[in-house]
Amino acid sequence: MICRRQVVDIQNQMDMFDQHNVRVVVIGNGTPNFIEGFRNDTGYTKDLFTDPSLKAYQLLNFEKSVKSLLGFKTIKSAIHALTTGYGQKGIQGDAFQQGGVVVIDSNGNPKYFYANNEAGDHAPMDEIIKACE
Amino acid sequence: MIIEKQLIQELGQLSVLDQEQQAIPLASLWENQTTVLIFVRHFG
Repeated sequence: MICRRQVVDIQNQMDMFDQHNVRVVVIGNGTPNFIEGFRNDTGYTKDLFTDPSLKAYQLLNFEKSVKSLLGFKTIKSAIHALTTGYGQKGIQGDAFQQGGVVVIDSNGNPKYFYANNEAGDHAPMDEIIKACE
Repeated sequence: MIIEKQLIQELGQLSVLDQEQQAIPLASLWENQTTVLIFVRHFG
């Protein structure tokens, strides 16, 4: 429910990222043949890859727990997602795996890091934008 | 919260898959410009 919503939010800011010559990459963890459907559902036009091994998720220590799905924010975000038309259509990938955001400059320096605490929690857009300036 | 550059180097050595199941080295994604990597929970 929530990951779609976040990707739509990112897509809505794409002009700004383009103006700053910032590349936007979305990485999921389902099978590669799910990529096209995700693109169609979100309207996302930029790079889209998948990490079914979850190795990158594990390296970045993104949380993976049942508990992370049950927070209050999850419920709030679920209602928001459902009422705005981005409900979960069926999970593809690991339902207990959390995500996050990393901003990296061309010298390989980390500019920003955010690990989602629970489903529905994600990096504030203004923080991502600030890290890109 | 910020992470170490060394972790980014390790991350860069991993690969992700594109739609054609081709392995793409992560480091190739940010070699030319600042890059925002968004790891979503799943394709749900």
